[in-house]
Amino acid sequence: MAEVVLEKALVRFGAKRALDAVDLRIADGEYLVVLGPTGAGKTTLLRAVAGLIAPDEGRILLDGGDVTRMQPEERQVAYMPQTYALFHHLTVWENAIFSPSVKGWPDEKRDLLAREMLSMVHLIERADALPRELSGGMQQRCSLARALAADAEVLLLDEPLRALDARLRIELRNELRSLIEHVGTTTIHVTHDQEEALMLADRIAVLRDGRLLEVGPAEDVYSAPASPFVANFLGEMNFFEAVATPDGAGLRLVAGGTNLVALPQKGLTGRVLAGIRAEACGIAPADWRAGQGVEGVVKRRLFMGRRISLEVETPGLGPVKAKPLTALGTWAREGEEVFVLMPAEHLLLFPLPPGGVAGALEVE
Amino acid sequence: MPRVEAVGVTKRFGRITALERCDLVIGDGEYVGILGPSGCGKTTLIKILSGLWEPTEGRVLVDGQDVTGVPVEERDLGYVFQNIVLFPHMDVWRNATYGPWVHARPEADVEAVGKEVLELVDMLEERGMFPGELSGGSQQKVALARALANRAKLLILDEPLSALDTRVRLELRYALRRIVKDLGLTAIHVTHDQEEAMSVADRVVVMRKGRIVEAGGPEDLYDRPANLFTANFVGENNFLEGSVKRTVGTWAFVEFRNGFQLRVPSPGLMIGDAVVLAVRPEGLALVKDGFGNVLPGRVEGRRFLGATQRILVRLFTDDVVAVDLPSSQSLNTGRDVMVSFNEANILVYPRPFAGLQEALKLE
Repeated sequence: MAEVVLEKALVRFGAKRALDAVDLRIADGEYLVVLGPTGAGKTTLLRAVAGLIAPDEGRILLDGGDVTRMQPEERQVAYMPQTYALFHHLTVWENAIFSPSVKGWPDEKRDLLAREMLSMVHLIERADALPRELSGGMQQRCSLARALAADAEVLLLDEPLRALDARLRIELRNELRSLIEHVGTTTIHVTHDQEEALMLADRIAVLRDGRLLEVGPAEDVYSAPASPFVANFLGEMNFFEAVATPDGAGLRLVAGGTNLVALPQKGLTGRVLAGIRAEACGIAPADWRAGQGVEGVVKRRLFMGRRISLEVETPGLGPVKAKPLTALGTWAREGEEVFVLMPAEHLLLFPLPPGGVAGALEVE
Repeated sequence: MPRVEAVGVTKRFGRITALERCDLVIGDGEYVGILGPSGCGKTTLIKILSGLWEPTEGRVLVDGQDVTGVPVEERDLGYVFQNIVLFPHMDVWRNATYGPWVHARPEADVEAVGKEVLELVDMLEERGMFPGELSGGSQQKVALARALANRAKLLILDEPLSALDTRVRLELRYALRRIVKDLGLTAIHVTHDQEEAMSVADRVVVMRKGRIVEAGGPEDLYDRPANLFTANFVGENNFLEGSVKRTVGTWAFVEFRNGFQLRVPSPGLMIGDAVVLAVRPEGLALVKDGFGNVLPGRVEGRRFLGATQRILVRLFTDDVVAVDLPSSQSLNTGRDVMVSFNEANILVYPRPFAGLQEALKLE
């Protein structure tokens, strides 16, 4: 098992810094999920740890040893790229046993491991198939099984569930997490899916333009994000400009004629950017007078199963998105007047971004 | 206004049966989602309904007229594909008005149609841009505009959002449903994403292994799936296997391993019946005391899901259940808890002959 450390790792592609002086320590046995928009440097980070790219500056350490100049095969890492990189002339089974065979494992132990991994990804019945006979999702699962069967000390997964059907993705994500928790492999998992990130991660790292914006336990990054960008990347947000004034132990927020109370945050007062997650917004009948929030009319309603997604047009704050649990929000129909609840503990405050909100949230 | 019917539609490729006697009626102006895992036959069905493929057996009717064998280009429909197919060298306007333009409609008509459809998808301002300059979501909007521009009343949507990023996908769901309803179209939308199917469609058709498993309104399908496969595929569920120990009026008492029992609503259950109970993670609660309809267990793990958290509890029946709670509630692994089963949230199914795993399997 191994600890992974990036020290001021910098990778240049021409004039662009694909990875910009990233400092990151991933503890032994930790499951780190890296989130970020396309082109943020997520894959570059994985490839640098795998040894497929040498950083232009900085160092990479595995268990304290400097591996910056070491070849990929000299490192105890298994890498599952987005392109799967399966051996096309080998069957699913032969792909899965490839690494353990190279390592000279006894057949019995090797077969046991490969069988277990192929079962986990629901491919054991296709063990004799060649990659080209499989769907894209199956190829991805085969690649995942091969990476898991490599029994490496560090597992690097690049969007490992992306090509899968929505339902299977949920199933494999649960199983992947249980498995890795059980085996204790240090894992770096790149995704753009925030739900997947929250579900899997011990810690989440958010990258943008090659820079590490924030890293922390999933709950902290979700409930107290350092910037509007990170907040928005981890779940749909409502943002509005407000004026904050201290009021007793709390803060009074005035925005668009609406008065709200928020908890003090980072000493912010005056003009601020306030935000609340759509799923933190409750919904109540229009004449509701308990709790705080804003009145409006439901413009759009989508049933999503567990939750209902509502867009409420409010005179004070414009369109507000709320995603209550279905049991609590299913009564709200389009055209209905409602009260959107905005609990103080869920209101997040940020300094007003100098370039405006849109620029601060831009993903490309 | 088209009403589309599949009557006993079967499709074989060599020895493989991709579709097995599918019967389906899609009402005029209805938005139907066709949902199922990879390889379930949903794409085959939509290709046969639209005339891209011919069925091996069975017929396709549109407004009561047999159109089996009529090729897609002779049908009055718009088609949107998963892989965005725009002409890269034509701007947004040319792409959107391609249909009326090749049909040499009068200039004024082309102008009017182009304006209307680009306005519908909110892309009129980008009329001069080229596909390469647009995001995936915007490109797919243009593809949709182009499909609408021939003024067909039947819209076929073949995984139209699957290639797009999560955020964009959510936004386009609204747009699709709004446009279909505003124009009064009949729409058939194929997807593997259960949330997408539920949020866009009036009715969702669930498919598995070439057959239609069941069809229903999204909320009915989620709350009261008729079939175990649907219960698992549409949203997540906990399943518990047991047998009926006794019945009292409209209730049955189901026994699990180690002698634990729950009271469940009884749709005519008999003593000794093997059953499967389904309860959604959000339909369970943790309570302090052991009264009422509860099963004891121990907290085995916890996953953060944002506004909610998922608690994994190993029941003393040896089943593991997922319980979704607000994230604010704190609970430590290893703690003994009581899981409360509200009877109203429990669905009861006869235990499938081939076993539970087989009934749930995604492929």
